[in-house]
Amino acid sequence: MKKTLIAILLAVVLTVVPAASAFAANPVIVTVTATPAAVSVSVDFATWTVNGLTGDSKMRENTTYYSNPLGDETAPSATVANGDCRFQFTNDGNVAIDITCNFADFTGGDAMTNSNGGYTVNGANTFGASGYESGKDWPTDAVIFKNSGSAIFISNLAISATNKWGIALLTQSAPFVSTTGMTSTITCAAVEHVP
Amino acid sequence: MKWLVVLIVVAGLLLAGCPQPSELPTAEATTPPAELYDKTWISPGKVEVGNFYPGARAEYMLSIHNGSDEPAEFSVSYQLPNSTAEGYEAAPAAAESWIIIADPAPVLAAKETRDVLIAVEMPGDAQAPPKWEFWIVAKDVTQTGMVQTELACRWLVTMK
Repeated sequence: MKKTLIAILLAVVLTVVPAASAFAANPVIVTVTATPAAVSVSVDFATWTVNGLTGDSKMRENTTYYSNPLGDETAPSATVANGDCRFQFTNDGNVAIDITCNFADFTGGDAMTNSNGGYTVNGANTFGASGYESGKDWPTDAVIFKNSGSAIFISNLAISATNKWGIALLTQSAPFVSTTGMTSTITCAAVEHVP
Repeated sequence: MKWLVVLIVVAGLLLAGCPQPSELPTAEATTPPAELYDKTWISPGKVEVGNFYPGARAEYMLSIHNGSDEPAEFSVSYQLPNSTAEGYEAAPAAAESWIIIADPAPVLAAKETRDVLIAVEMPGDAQAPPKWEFWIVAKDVTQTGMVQTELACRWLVTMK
């Protein structure tokens, strides 16, 4: 009986040892690495009433509005100046960042939807929007604000750096019929800049 | 009989010594930067996963800091990248179901920092490009105003 038990145990050990060696020779190790870095961004003057900087706060159809303190229908300078810009990003984190902005469809009232074609492309019930950045050329450097998946708007904003910017918005071509106000949100995502 | 005991102990030690391929990969937690106490931030900015394969799991803690003087609710969500790092492509459509966010709606007290576990668990029969990227986005949903901000952490995954 004892001999039988010893034989069984030896067989078990001999079976297990090669398997263990195989595990040791080819370990499957997934690596996870991350460098401590804080991503943070703030925006000054985050509110904007379209046609409300110098106008009567009412949108007209087929009209291009700008978040330009110099005038709601005043395009920015050929080289965008700080004075053309209502908003300002500040990189509050400790790593350089890229910023992308998505412009959601309007809800309420006539509920315009985003054409995703930029500030020159509208439709009966669609609007177009683009962002402009201080120091860049207008309109060649304007970046389309889609309702999702927009391209990078501000690239490689350094730690503690600020950047002024604005929005151009072309309203829908069909007349507005609702007297109820519409609202929308522009969500700007900051992400660590990588090459 | 003593030999039997010895053999059992030896067999046990051999088995215990086997490296286990299913060990979860982990990385050190990040240290919140003290100078950003009054700012809302996330950390880290990017997580790099290497040697990944179908059936594997990787996880990391996303730290979220509420720099405001008021409590704030955050949304933590998966997002396809608006832009990708060089050499990477956007995650496949199915990847959204591979992501586990332990707490997708944390409510943080003023100045609180909270760690939220993020895991990616790829099914054994799934496929992905050699190098793919997705974002985990944290947004303070108590923000008001037409322009709002959110903070994204890049996950850069390289397959085995």
